[in-house]
Amino acid sequence: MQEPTFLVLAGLASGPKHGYALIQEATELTEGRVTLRVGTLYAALDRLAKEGLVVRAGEEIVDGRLRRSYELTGEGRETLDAEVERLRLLSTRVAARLRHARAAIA
Amino acid sequence: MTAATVHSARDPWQVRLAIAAHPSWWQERYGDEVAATVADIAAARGGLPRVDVMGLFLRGIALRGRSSIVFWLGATLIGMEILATSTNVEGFHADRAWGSILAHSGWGVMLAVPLVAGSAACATGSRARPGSVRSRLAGLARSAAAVLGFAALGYLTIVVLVVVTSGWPLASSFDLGYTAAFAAMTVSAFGLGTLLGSALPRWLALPAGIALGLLAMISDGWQNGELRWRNVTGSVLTFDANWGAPGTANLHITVVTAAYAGIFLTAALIAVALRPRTLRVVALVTTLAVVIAGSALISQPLLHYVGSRGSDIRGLGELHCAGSAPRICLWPEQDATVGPQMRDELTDLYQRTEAFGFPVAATISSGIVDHPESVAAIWVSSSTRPDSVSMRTFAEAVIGQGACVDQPKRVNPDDQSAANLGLGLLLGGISDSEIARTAGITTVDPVTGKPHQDTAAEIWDYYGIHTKAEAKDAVSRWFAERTTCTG
Repeated sequence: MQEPTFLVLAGLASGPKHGYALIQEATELTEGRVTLRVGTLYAALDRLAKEGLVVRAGEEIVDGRLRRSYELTGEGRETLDAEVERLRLLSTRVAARLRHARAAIA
Repeated sequence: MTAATVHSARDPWQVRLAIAAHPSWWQERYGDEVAATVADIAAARGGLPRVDVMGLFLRGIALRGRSSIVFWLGATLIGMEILATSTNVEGFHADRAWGSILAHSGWGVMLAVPLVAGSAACATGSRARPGSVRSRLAGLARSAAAVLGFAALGYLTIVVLVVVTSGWPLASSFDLGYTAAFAAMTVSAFGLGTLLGSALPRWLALPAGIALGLLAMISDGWQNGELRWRNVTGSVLTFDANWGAPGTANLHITVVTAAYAGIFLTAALIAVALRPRTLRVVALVTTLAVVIAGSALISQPLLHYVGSRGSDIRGLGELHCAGSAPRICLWPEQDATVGPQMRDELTDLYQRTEAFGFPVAATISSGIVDHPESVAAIWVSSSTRPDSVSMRTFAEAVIGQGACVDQPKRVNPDDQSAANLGLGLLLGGISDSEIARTAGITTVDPVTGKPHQDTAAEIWDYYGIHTKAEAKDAVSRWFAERTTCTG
């Protein structure tokens, strides 16, 4: 899973969000390292919607503009869980190797 | 609530353009909320997020392109234009003057003609469906932007590559005649393709457009003024960017090319607006009849007029002139690249010709034809190739002085050829291969039926020149029989 896709799914983990809120969430999660571009965000949302991982949660008009929010489907939440687990295992293994390497040098 | 009800006209044009670059399904699904998201970012950052908007635009083009045959034909078109230019003898090299660069960059435009016609035919297929006249014309405008945009992008890409390869132009003159002719022939191809697409089923219109474009590409235009379909196609679609001095297109040819473009585009607009298909077929047939009749009517007078008038010329004020007897005038791009070498060679040739006692114009000038000020000058090549001045070309230019104004006696081509070869021999000789190539002819042996190419020895025999004395006689005889233009 590519990082922008992961960040979109991760942004929706705490509940439905609209486009700009997802961009803010990605910036916050990565402590400013990643700024999702609008084109990237909506390409990811379109792909995730087609795969059935996110759905529209509702829409409202704010200041004369359409604000549409998205939420995770059950399958989307499972996919996110699986990805988080994969990343956790990966980082655990890499951390272990680093520890061994440091011990060998010492 | 539908997205369309909150569509905002207050969005900056860049945002609207970026959204419009996407396919219609995407615009309906995401257009308004994307505009809202961009507005939120702009409010938070205190300005339009230009990188975001540019990325959005490019993604839209890519998304639209992936599902559009016009996109792929357009990409192929650009690739073929670049390939055609790179495989040309000169490649991406051109003289460092805008006129030459813009003309040279159009080498691939001929290849673009079939694909432009095919793309237009393809794009028009969808507008043959029911819908208002306005929506069909709007569709035509969109496909025109896409098809012609790809053609223009290909041309501009080649211009950039030629400038990068050859260097920034050294001459200031800026002749857009060729570019206008290329644009007009591309618009003609678009109009023809649209006509075909509106009148014929897509499966037939696409190959027909490409076939007619190919026919135009391989055509010689109206070189012989014959009313043949190949000639007609060539003249209306490619009429005829090659007529003109290097770097200066012939205005009249450009105007005729633009007129054809206007006819085809108007007919395409009418055909797209018309319903039912029968009327569109009538529009196609009528347009073809008009251009065929028009070509038949204008071809001979135009050939005669253009032939008698010669090419338009560059402004003489740009010439860099130096020296006296000979005074040598070169274009800035020549002067900056091969100027010293050309001036040395020309001065040497001039002095040796004068030493034989032949009349030689005191001015040797570059690239001027059919102009009052050039009458008193020897014309030499306007190329920037170091080898562009050869013994043969200089000899021809000197001998040409004796045939350039009203003469008491009609010029005999054999006498002129003998004088050319004679002076060439006196100035240091011309290689056998160059003589055979420029003065020889190929004949078919009536007994064996085999072709025979004249050898250099046979050519010398034919003109009766075997020694330097005979060569001098041939040149002296030539000048004695006519006044010269040396002024």
